[in-house]
Amino acid sequence: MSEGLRAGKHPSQNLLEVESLCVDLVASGGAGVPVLSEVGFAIEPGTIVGLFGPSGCGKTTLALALLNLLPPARYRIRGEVRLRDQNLVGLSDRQLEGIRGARISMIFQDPLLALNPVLRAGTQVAEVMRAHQAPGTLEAVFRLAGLPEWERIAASYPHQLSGGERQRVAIAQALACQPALVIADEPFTALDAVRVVELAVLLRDLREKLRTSFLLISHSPGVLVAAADRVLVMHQGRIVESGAPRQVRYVH
Amino acid sequence: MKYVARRLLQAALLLLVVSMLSFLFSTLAPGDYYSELRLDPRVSAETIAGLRAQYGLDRPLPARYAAWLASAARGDFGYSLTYHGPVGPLLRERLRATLLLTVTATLLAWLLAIPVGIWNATQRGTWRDGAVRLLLALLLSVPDLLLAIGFLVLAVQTGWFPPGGMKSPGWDSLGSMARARDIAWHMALPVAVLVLGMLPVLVRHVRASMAEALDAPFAWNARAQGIPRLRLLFRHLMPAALNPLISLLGFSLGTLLSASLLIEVLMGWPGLGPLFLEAIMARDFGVVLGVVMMSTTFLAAGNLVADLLLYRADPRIRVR
Amino acid sequence: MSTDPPIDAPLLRICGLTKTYEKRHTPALGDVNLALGRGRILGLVGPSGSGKSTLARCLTLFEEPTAGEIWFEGRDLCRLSQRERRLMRAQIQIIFQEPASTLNPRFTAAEIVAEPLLIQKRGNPSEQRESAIRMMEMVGLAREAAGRRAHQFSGGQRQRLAIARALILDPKLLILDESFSGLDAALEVQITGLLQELRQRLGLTMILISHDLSLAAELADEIAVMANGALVEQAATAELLARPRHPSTRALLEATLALSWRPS
Repeated sequence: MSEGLRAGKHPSQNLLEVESLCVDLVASGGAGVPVLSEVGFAIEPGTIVGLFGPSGCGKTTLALALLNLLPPARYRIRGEVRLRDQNLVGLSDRQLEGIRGARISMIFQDPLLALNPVLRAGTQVAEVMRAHQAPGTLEAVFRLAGLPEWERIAASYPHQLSGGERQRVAIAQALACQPALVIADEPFTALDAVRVVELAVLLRDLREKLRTSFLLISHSPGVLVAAADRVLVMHQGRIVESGAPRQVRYVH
Repeated sequence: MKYVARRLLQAALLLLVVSMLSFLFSTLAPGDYYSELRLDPRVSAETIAGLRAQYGLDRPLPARYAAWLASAARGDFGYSLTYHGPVGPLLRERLRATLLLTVTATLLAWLLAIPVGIWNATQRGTWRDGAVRLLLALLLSVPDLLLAIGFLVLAVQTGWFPPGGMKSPGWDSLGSMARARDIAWHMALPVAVLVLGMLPVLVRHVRASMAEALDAPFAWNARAQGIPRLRLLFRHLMPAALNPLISLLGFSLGTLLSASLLIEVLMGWPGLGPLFLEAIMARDFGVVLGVVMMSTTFLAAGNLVADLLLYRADPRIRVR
Repeated sequence: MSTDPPIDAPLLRICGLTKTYEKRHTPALGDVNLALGRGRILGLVGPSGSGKSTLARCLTLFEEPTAGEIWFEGRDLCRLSQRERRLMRAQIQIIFQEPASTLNPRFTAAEIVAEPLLIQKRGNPSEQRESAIRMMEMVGLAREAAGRRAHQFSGGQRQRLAIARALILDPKLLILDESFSGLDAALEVQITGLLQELRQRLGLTMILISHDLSLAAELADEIAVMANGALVEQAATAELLARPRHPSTRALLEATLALSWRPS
């Protein structure tokens, strides 16, 4: 049984359960280099879980693997990723399209690069809503993400927005269909302390209002202590610890 | 607006410089229209001198240029000695024929290149990708000349297509539908040669920019948001991949006149090509200059259109 | 007019520096005044968009300020001729955020570090190479690594290469623009240690630009806080942390403390 599976409740009440997830990078010649080994953990609904690890330990790969975004030509995936009892590993692209953005969504590391440079911010968020036929208005989604000046921002192109506004647009995109789980890859890295605290407050707010769970990837323990309910520690492709933010060992 | 005005001014300057250089080079070439005539012993030197004076061929260079420029400004491009008529209308008629060919070919080439290029980009790394690229490389390496001759041989051997010309004899007596069909039948081979010539470069560029867009972080993001595949390609990635393609389109437009000159001569299409060649050989400078100026205009216009399109298509450019 | 400044005069004095961009209605820099003494380290902190990087670009002559003066060693940088600018660039060097992307992937380490010497035409090729190797050793890279290419070094080593390259012209002022973002804790400790050592050995004056107040507080003697293009507070580090005066400083300090938990 894998290390981090500490649900505490009946397993089927967990939002996400990862069990024995292994990801190999296929080098030329067919040999596989393991990137993730026997990763296992659970996320309950309405919790903020931090994922800590030094650079290169596989955090981003894990995030991509959960949504099955790794190109199949280069990666081999084994194991189970259960979203409320439905295993995502092995689903077809079409089936996954219905889940991505709608039930699990992702916020990428650099909002400037993650947003399409030739489409307006509003268009990009609306596209996600359209893809999943989500109810609700653009205004509501922007306000949810903490952007009261939503009209100006929706009409702007990404390069016309400040870094903070761009990040909120990425958050709006991720929240547009009110997914149960949002994976955020290093959202705090470029932010100064004041903005980090603001973002942590926003995430807590969303957790209360919408029961959204978050998987926060970060290499900063101080930030995870402030923002997360629980922390998973990764080291060389494995989850080595899971527990309260102030109690886990960050250095391995 | 200021931008457009500035570009138009630049284009006008370009045309002026090109006209000067063309004038200069064409007069530097030894001889003029009457040189051939001089070889005929029956024609006396005085007659020739008289003829030359009549057409102003003995005046000094700057004076001739100034005269040409002045009348060109009025829309009068001079008189063609070979064809015994004003240059303007002669060019216009041939221009229509050339444009018919090149516009059709360019349109077809782009309509084919875009889906093929996009499909190719999505197949990167598979054997299909390699096969298509090999095919295109082979096509690229075959000279237009060879293609044209090959098609002509095909036409003559099988009789499926006419071996040249634009209209069959008795075209005037046909109804309008039949007329159009006749021209289309004549056009088929030259257009095919042109399209096959343009295709490899276009597909390669479409493939390259789409591939770049497919790998970009915003493509990953859109996929992570569950945007369905086709919509992702056309609504999200194509607009972002357009920049280099628009520049290429400008180039395509700019070469609308010049691309087909050789093919026209080879395949007997009565456009600007054969006219240009004959005029050069006969040193009929009025026609030569006229064709060069038209070509340059198209080139400048093509570039301007491309830049304006780029301005509209890419919001990042507008900020500057 | 250049007069040799008295020995205790500040190395750098910025007066009324303003920079406005056409399409933005708020100025990127608004009337910034700053003085920095020789051999001191100044931490320049503030949120992104507050003007820190714009200031760095003005100092390194990448941007022309709209108004104001930058006095460096008795010369106003804004009023230099082309030739004088080129010479002045040797005196003020900058290290950016992502060292990997500023290192030419085709050059060997020695070539990268020696490049400024080549540009400023100092010494012959073998002297340049020797200087480069000596500088590499000073930043803690082995002599044997001189022939390797950038991608063969780790992230921390690449940062050291960038530092070596910045120091090879023996500049008086070194600017680090967010050079620590994205480095994990262990690397941060190594590089801050290196910078402190270099400050001792070479008597460098430094400006450390960062959005991270705790990082700046570790290295800097004085801290200047920027917000919305204006410099709102400048004080000695201890003083600023104990008695912050401006609301922006207080907010930054509070937030930083809230996030300052470190594993034991």
